[in-house]
Amino acid sequence: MIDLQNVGKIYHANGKKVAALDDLSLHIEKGEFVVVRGPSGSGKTTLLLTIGAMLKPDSGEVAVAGENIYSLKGGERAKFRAANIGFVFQMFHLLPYLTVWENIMVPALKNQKSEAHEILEDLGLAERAHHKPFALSAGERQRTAVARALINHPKVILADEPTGNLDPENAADVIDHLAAFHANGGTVVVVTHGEQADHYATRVIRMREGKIDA
Amino acid sequence: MALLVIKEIFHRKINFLLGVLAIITAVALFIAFFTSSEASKRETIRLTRDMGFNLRIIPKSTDMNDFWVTGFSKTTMPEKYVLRFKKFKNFSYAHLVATLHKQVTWRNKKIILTGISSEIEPPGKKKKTPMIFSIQPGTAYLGYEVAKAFHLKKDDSIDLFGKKFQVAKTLSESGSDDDIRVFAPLAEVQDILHEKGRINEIKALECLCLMNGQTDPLKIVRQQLTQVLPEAKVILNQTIAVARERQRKMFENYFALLLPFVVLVCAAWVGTLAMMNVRERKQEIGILRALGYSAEKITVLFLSKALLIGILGAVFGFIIGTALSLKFGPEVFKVTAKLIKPNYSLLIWSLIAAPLFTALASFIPAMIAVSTDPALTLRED
Repeated sequence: MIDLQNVGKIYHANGKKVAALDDLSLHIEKGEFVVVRGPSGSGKTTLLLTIGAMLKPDSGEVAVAGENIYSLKGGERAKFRAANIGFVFQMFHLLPYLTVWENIMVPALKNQKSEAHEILEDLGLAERAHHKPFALSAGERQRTAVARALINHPKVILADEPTGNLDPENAADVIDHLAAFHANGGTVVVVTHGEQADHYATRVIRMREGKIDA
Repeated sequence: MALLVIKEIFHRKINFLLGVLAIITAVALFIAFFTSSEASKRETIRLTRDMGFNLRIIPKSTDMNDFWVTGFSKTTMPEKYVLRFKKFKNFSYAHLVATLHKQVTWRNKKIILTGISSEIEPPGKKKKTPMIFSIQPGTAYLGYEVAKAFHLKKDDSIDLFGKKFQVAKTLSESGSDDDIRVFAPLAEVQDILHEKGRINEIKALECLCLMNGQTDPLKIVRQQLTQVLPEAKVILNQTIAVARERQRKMFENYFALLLPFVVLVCAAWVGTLAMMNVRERKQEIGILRALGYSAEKITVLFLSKALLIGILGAVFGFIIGTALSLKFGPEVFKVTAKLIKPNYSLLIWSLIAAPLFTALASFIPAMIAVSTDPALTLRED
């Protein structure tokens, strides 16, 4: 499902070169639940954004669902991302001026109202559908972000510290939803410091200085 | 997509309203200017016309020394010469008046007796309001000094060399030789002076539309006169002509200077607001890209907002500009106030130009928005 070959990504900061990804190779099978751990600056988020067709590496190749994603042109890559990849972020990144329902429908590729209703029911957000993010609890916001990631039935969900701003109860709830997606055949890659996801993980990867720690 | 644009506008109302305000200001200024411009043009023409005739057409054989000493030609020419101007189209001459002047002694005082015909216009020109008074048969207009010297007033009867006239008007002090003139209808003055069918001057107004600093207006009016009346010569009063032209150009120049400045300020204003909007929405752009929005879609989001600013600015700018013109225009252009009325074709032009303008002003910020690497903003978390 996900295949990275000798991927390198270098950032330039204060005149110094920092290798966020250093000749990294990784293969993730369809239906895996991968937890990525590592200290700050080890390249976890860069790895996630690179897999998510958001950050072109300086070297190497990245394939998702059999598609060499960085050989696609900008518009095609955006379409690929919308159809195949769902993102969940630590800071939720909901659009503040849209309701829960509208936020979920932002990436929708077609009229998916009935699916959106189902997802809202599953995530316990049906009664909050017409609330704006400021009126939601942190847990509800993150569940809205999960619902948004699920709306196009992606093949992969990439979650960057999805529980970082949540209390243990809500954190467990979000992980449960990611696990449900995994249980239905989806592939999940979660960057997290917490251990709630370990229970569902098929693999835990540790990163250090842009490399996978063996 | 439309939902995103509309909801974002409501979310960041101040930014949007400031953008609309910039366009309203620019459009209102344009509309006020163009709505009042016809009145201004006509008013300028009226005001400068009141400065008097600027062309004097006299017989070619006139001795110019005598002419300047006496103030008129001692030679006469046929009155029918003036009718030749009726045959020539697109002439820059207007308000042609045939006149006959002669110095006479009346009641032991030297005066100038002046006969004036009604105005004629060359063909192809709009019917104009006469520049000079029209004197009814059997009546006379008295210059200020004449009326004062003989204690004459309106409706008094006077005898001019055996012919009776009623005083139709006593003129106010002009500070020129008009103060010692008695004006009467041309035919009657010709009778008195035994100069039937003769005149010694045609007065006219030259619009000086051709005066642009590169052409010599005198050369042009002389060329035109040669075509029509080779038996005459023409004198152009340069002072009046230049003042008239300067007055006409002043209004246009003022706005020609002001309007580009307003356009530049508004472009900078709208551009800065768009830039602020892009900075504020950096993360939002990143998340939209993550959700599968292409660079083109993001551009459309920003340009749609800019177009809305342009459309609203055009509509409200038109309303405010027109209202300002209708309210204050008549106070500025008192004589031609009736010409100030809503010009709906300007609304159509505003609806084309203002959105185009805002889209152009927002183009660079929109390009910055789509070219910023979304991963950078998302990674900053």
